[in-house]
Amino acid sequence: MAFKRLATIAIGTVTLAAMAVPAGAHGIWFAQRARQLALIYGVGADDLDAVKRLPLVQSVTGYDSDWAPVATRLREAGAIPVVDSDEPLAAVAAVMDYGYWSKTPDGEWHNKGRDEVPNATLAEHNFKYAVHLSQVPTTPVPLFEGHVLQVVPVGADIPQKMGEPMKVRVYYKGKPVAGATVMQDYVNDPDEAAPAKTAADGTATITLRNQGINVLMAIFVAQTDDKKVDHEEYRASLSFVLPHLPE
Amino acid sequence: MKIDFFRTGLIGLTLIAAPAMLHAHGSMKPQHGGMVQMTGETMVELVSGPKGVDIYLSEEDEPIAAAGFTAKLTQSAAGKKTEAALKAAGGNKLVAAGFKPVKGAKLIVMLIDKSGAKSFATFQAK
Repeated sequence: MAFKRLATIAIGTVTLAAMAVPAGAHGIWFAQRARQLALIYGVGADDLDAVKRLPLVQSVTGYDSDWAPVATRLREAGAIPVVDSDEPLAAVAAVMDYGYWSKTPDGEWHNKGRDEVPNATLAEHNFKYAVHLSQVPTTPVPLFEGHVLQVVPVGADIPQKMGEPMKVRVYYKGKPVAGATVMQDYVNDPDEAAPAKTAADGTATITLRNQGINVLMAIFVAQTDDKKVDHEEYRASLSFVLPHLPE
Repeated sequence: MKIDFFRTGLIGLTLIAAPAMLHAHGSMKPQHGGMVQMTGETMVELVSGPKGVDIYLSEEDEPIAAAGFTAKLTQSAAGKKTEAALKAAGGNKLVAAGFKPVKGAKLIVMLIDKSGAKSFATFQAK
């Protein structure tokens, strides 16, 4: 009986591993871990090894409530990278260049461009961005340097109750972009059936799903002159916490 | 609890600090006549007196050893920052001897525990 159960678990594990999503489907965001703010790499409940991916992080920046820069860095704290700043942060942001990824006919992904994988059925360059708001902004969230794709709240107000609508705007290269996907809960609904799409003014309205951490994820696929890939894929998260009631 | 919270002169209700504060399993009343604020699970009390600034640390009403922390006090006033080391002074007390807060200034207490985890508590000087 015990062996049968073990075998079932083993087969299930292998199946789950085989279903592993491609690199492009992963994103980065910030979330609290043991009272510290950590950089998370993953999708859904997959909280993957962000420490080993730290060399891919191009920048980490922190800001106070006036959006003035605060000296900020990532610190390895065992299995997770945590935000280390010289002062309290109102917001923190990160940029990751995840590099070239090519998919071969057998379904495997390779960390190379089409120039090295000529039989690739798909080749893309993945970029990932994260912005976390530690407090309700008093002024509109600015566009941060190096964030080719960024999703920001429209206005400075963030609704404080789960279930309320929230309007966001997605910027690509500093301009509102139409047709970007906006997932409303990247952690708890990574397979969202009908995510919002941005309108001509770059806006989309999502529903806040959690009276806790909300991780929105904007996704945009852009054409490129880079011959090593078919396109570039950008993923940009916006995370924040809605407080719960007093105990 | 809310009244006590606002008495601290805390600058800005943060999304993250709010749930942490609401999680507090202990009294939020100052034990030394100072201002209190939660950072994570730790209650920080700041007392300004003629000899300087004293900080007291506790969790769930229990004092925690100040010797377990590296700490710093930063004051921002009129665009100018001044810093002072907070030194363990026995029990749950840290001191910045001779430090004189400017009325209305922002005071930030930075705590680093032995694991390297850093936390902040922000006050407004009275």
